[in-house]
Amino acid sequence: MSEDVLIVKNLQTAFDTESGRLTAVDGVSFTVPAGKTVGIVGESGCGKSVTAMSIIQLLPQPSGVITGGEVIFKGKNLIGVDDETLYNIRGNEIGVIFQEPMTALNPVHRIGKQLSESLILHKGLSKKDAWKESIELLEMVGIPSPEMRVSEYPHQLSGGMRQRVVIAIALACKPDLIIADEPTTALDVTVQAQILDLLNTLQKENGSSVILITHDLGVIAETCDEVVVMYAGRVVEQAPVLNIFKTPQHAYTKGLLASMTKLETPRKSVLGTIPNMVAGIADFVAGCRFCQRMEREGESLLVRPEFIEVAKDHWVEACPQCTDRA
Amino acid sequence: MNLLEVNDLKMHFPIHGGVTARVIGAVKAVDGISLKINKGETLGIVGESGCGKSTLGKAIVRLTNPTAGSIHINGRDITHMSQRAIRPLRKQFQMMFQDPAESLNPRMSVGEIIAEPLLIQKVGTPVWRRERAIELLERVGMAASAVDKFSFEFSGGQRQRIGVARAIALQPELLVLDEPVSALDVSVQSQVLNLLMELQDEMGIAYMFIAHDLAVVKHISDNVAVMYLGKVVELADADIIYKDPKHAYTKALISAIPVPDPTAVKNSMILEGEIPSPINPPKGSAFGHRLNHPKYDETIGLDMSLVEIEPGHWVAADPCCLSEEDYSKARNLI
Repeated sequence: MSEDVLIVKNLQTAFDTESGRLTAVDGVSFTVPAGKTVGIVGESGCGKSVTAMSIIQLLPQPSGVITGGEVIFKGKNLIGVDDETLYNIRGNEIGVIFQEPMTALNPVHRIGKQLSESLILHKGLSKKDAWKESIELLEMVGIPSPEMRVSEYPHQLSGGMRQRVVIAIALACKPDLIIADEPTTALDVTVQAQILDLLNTLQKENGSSVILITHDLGVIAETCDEVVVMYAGRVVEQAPVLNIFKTPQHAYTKGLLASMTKLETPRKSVLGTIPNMVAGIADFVAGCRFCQRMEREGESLLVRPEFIEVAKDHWVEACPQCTDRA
Repeated sequence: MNLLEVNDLKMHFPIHGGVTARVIGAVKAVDGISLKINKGETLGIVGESGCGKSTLGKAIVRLTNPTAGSIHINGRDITHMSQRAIRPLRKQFQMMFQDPAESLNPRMSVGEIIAEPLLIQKVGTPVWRRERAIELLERVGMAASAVDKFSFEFSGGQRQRIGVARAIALQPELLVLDEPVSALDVSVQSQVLNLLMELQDEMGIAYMFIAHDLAVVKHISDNVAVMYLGKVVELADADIIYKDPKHAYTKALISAIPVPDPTAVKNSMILEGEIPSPINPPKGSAFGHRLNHPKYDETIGLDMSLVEIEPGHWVAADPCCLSEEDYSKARNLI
């Protein structure tokens, strides 16, 4: 068994706001094995993107602070290291694919310049060599006539093409870990299929590990080996992908699966729902936050449920009301 | 009589260029679409971004002036009516937009937002309208106390419920829904879909449901029209179109949907390229061009109109996109 590329231990991230310090990520732990894809799934505001940005420490400044925990990347804790070390890791050993390809690219620089940047910085290539390598990278991500595209600006490309460029930048230095934050959410289904296929192929070629953040369980089922389900800043369930779909334990995971509209669901039947909505971040209870959404009362709201292993590698936040475990 | 009947509708937007800003071309966003919706039924419109589905919706409720073709609602031709003449008819058809944050005025209270269509149509007294707004809020599953709050105090799902309440305030017969759930999280998305289906049962509203999510469209629709580059390429009963798609584009769209089952054997056909620009569309079969099909040259100048290949199943007679058997059947029907 190969080692884990990334171990996140009890990560806590908070934001300083006018109404005080709010904890967006509240004790999140998970591991990313070498060469595997770990999916983080959850609804908007559950802290999945903040978790990812905490790993590479690109939180909005000065409000975002990591208040506790460890992020161990290739055996080294990244929390508290100096900026210099982080610069050398970001874009080099950890590549990031952001959601919105229009805002992730600089509109006033040519594609080639943006691709060359990390090659010059991390691999010490000359401008000329970096430009050549950029063309190869564009070809690798399937952009037609790369020698022409390399000197174009982002606005000259379509959404799918831009996302390919963002992927090319993330992969430029052959990173050990790729963090993909909703890489296909802004794209059409046919282009989404192209991009997921591309990510998959490139991952196999380079042997990188991937953290894939998404709200789409279909994408999770097709691409991930392990799944982390987040709710209200915490991990409620974590398991190999088959377990999540076949034997989900937590009521939230079950609710998510039931709410999905699938092609097989009989037409116009009533869809499963999760009642109410996620509480505001300032109102989170200390105990089980899904019980809070279900408007339950009592002890489960006061004490945080334990995170226990119910089957091999299958972990769940064992709230007695949200799982079958007493 | 059909509630809505659209014939050969075209919506072209001129492109200006040169020093004198003369017209140098046109974006053919909607290029010859015909469809019908019966009372109380749902027609789903699917397609990728840029295929013209939103433009079609806006043209049907006459937020824009169509370039050519005709739109009949309850037998009345509204294609070229003036906005003044059309206003009283708007009670019959309403539209609901995608982004609940942008389509609700942040300076108006929720009560005012919901009562605005009633005010415009001069229905009832102010007191009655407020009561009606509360009634509607409760109908869409919100607390009556929301009436004096502002839309930004609510989450995306709740805002979309407010949007639904406003759209049904005049008890329209037709509601055009433009991506009503795509901005919402799955668990909230299903709440809103359930609400829309309930309202349809209760009030007999017909929906034109525009979305890019095929699973959602299939779930809520009676019939589904698949659009590609300003044209409908296939139109059939929702179950049939998913079980037995005829057109290559429909097949590609269906196979691209991620299947939420890790054990499923996936043989998704990965399409190359993207939807071409509607400014300078391919001369022949638009999808054949994307596929780089050997028969593409044959399709230049060929009549590829929709034909009823099986009862209720319409498909474009395009040699690049149909099986040989289907194509010869379709060709004979033209």
